[in-house]
Amino acid sequence: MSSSSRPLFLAKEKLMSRFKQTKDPRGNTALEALYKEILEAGAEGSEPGVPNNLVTSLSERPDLLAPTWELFKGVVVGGVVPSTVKEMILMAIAMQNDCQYCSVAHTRALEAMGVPTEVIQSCTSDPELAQVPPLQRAMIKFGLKTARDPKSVTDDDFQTLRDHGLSDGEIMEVTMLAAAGNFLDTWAHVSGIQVD
Amino acid sequence: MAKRFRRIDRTENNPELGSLYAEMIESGLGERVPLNWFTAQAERPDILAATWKLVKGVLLQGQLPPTVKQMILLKISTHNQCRYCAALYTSALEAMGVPKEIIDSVTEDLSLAKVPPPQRAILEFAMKVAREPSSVTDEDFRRLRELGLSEGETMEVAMMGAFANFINTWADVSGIPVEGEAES
Repeated sequence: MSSSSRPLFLAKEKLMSRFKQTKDPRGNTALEALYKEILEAGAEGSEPGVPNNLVTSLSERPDLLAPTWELFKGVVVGGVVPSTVKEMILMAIAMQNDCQYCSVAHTRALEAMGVPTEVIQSCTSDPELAQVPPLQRAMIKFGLKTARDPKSVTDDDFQTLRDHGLSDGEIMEVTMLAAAGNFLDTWAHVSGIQVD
Repeated sequence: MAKRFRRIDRTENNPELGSLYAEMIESGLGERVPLNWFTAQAERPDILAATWKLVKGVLLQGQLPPTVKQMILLKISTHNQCRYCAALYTSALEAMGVPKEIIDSVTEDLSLAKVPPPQRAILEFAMKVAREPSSVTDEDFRRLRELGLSEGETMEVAMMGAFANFINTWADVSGIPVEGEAES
């Protein structure tokens, strides 16, 4: 049987983005400035010169894109926690939230950073995170707990990170990163954006 | 619960923190010092600057009426059992002159019977976003459109849902006391 006999009605319905995605911001000064800054920070999507879908899905409201970008810039791009660790935390949270868009984006980022495949796979599919070194594992577990049920985080959880040598400022960054991970995953789900 | 993050009130030797605090107080988010939610981030002015921009852009500005935004925050904070946030948004709604029966309906009545229908639909949409974002359907979007919300306004409702969880998460993990209460 040829592939053309495949019943089309069983094909998974493709959910398109629910919000208009502007690719070319010319004529909209606020959006143009934001796209420029975001592209310079490396958040390009699948088309050259166009930011990723998460960014373009906010194009209808540059006033909402701006604070979302500021959060991302301050908590994900900036800070003192190494980028690879941040991406691992965000990846684990995206899996926990069943967010396909975000888990693909973070997998690609980790691959681009040269993180070994077995470590990436451990973040995505092993609740014990066996292939992840102990310090990073403790940070990811703290991030997952924060994202899943912030009320369940205990003084002992804080102590575990302190025992690993983390300062209060670093623990704060992990907490914020987890909260930001949920924020971004939520947007990806509700907007219905496609993987870049 | 042990105190988890040092809250800083005085900023004499920290101009970066001082100017952030001044902006927050000017926006009404504190009297002599900003709210505990912010001062608990004082150890990291770079993070505080980012979360402040988020609060400013998503909560203080935008197109939805401030009372509706505060109702969304109160509804979700109650659902998340975030005591700090529920107390904060209750006071905010009282200060805005929202009738007590509406505030009580937001916190105590799952059917939101005393909340006027358009606001009720907005609150229900935001709750769904906050609780289980993958469960939001095209039908939910249609419902808001039929009430006359533009695409941009719907985006703001959705973002408020995500934002409320963000605010609750930091309040819970940082363990800050309710405004005006002593450290527990």
